[in-house]
Amino acid sequence: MRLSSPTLLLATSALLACGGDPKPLDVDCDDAIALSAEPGYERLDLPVRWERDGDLTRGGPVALAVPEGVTGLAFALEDPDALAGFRVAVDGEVVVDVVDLFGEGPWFHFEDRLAVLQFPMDGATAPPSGCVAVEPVLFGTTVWEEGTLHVMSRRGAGAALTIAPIVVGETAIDDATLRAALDEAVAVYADAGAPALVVEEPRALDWPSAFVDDTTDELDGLRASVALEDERTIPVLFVQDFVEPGTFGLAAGIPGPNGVLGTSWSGLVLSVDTHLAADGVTLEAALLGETLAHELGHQLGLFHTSEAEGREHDPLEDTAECPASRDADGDGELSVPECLEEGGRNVMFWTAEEGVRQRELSATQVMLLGASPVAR
Amino acid sequence: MKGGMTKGGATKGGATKGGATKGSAMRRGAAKGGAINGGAMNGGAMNGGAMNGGAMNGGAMNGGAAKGGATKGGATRRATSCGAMTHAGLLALLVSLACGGPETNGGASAAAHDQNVADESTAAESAADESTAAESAAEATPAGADARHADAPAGAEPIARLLRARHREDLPDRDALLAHPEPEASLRWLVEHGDPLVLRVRAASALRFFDGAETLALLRAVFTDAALPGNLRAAAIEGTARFPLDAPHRAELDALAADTDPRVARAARARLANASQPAASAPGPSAP
Repeated sequence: MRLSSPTLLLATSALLACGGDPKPLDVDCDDAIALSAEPGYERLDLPVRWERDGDLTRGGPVALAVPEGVTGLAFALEDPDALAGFRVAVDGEVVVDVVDLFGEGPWFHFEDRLAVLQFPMDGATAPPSGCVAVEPVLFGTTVWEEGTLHVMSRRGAGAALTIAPIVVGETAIDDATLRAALDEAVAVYADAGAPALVVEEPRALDWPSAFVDDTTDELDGLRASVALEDERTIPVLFVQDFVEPGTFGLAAGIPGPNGVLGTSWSGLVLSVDTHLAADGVTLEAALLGETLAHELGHQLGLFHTSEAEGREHDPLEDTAECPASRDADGDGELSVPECLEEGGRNVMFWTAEEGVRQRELSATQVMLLGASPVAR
Repeated sequence: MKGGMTKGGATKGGATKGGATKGSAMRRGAAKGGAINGGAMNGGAMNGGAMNGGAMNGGAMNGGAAKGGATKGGATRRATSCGAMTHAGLLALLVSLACGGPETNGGASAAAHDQNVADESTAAESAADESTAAESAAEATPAGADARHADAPAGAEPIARLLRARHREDLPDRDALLAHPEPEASLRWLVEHGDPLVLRVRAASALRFFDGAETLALLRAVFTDAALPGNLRAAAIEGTARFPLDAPHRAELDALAADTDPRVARAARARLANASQPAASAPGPSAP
């Protein structure tokens, strides 16, 4: 039994949620690993030794000495066999318990085979300083005795984000159109006041197909195959299409494991064919650029400002919420025209609209982008 | 329950604007954005061209195809952002129920408009943008213009709007489509006239909620036309989900299961595999 069943996971989750994880999160802060106090980016890869604990598998807690002034701090952990998450304590106080894996605030994250916990997540979750204990947790068992906890941090907010456009296999996209799409994404971030989007020279990736099966682990393999010179660069893979038609693009997590290349979640994947004009030939470069900007926002930790039905919104204080009451045509879904002044122009609104430019980000959204450990 | 995060926290309890967690010891100071939202981000660095090439050229990719084999073998569907959120949402609901039922104190905030963004300058900018948007729409040739075409069914324009969701999992269900006039005819019209192509593709797939004779005829005409884009043909196969597979239809799909376009081949194989299922079990849209 290598993978925890959903039923087991749900039962475990519910049990822990009522009282929290009773296991103390104790570390010896005198032996804490010190993060750099110098401005800039740092990544640590720390070994994790797994031990079964009932229905969970725990990695021995890691003690980190986090200096003041860290603007972005993220943990990433991948396991091929079980859903992963984190517990975190700051100066002995548990601030991210197992219950928080389910989206409880303020320091929520999502358990998955690749878990990412990032600070900040909103305007009130600055990276902690002091003695920070991190315990990796697996919901289920793993066949591996050891894993790796990736710790990415940055001191000083970044002013730029770098992406690497990568054309996969025999994907047909002409260079001029690709560059036009990239320019569009750059313009979206510029107009929104976001960190500058720096685009590396497009390159090709040798891959057996221009089509990727997003219903299998082929997509994971594609992402995991990417190697770049600088781990802070976010790969943006262009494929001809996904085998399930109609998908614009896929981010890998909110946020993804930015700063760690070679994982199943390292980077965005965008479809070329989903951005074609009605003739099936002409590429809508502006549409492709908008998709890139939106998915990159997810990859860096931004949620939709409003979800389709208007009942769920991102956790940020300063993003406009479009409520369900704005559903003027009664179809149960909020359109851009119904929410023009309530987030409909935001890059991270859940849907697009012909003729409406979505080039707004709130101050907190901009802050989160610049606080990403991989921002430069 | 698609999303994970709510300000109101009706189902999540935390992560709220006004929830109990606000101001707790977890808050550690200065993450209010001020210092981080510096002017340095705004503007300057963007000038001078998007393409910042040079150093990254030259053999950066280390044997992509070969390394792909080392990928993980888990059984869960690729967790996109939204997929993960869905799972988390379900867990949150269970947690909520296990602990005594969902909290309901978020309703007020769900209805509240965020005054922080409604200042005068923003309104002025919005007005200017709206004017620009209107001009853009007037100049645009594709989707909206087509959906407002004189012979378009009344539901074509609002349904086209529903089909523009950024993620597949947010595409409309049958109820959302039925909220508009002539949904089936509108979808058929969009299959033929929608622009950009994704509207045609998604309209074809959405026809799986309907079973009119004209619909089947259109879908068969699309998926058997090898000159049409593969994603459109594949979506047309998906769109036949509510129709029984008669012998000619099955023969067509048998042939398409070996189509050179992997999207068409996969859709045909999936349709054949589901042939024995009753129409009521026609699949809904997949998560992106």
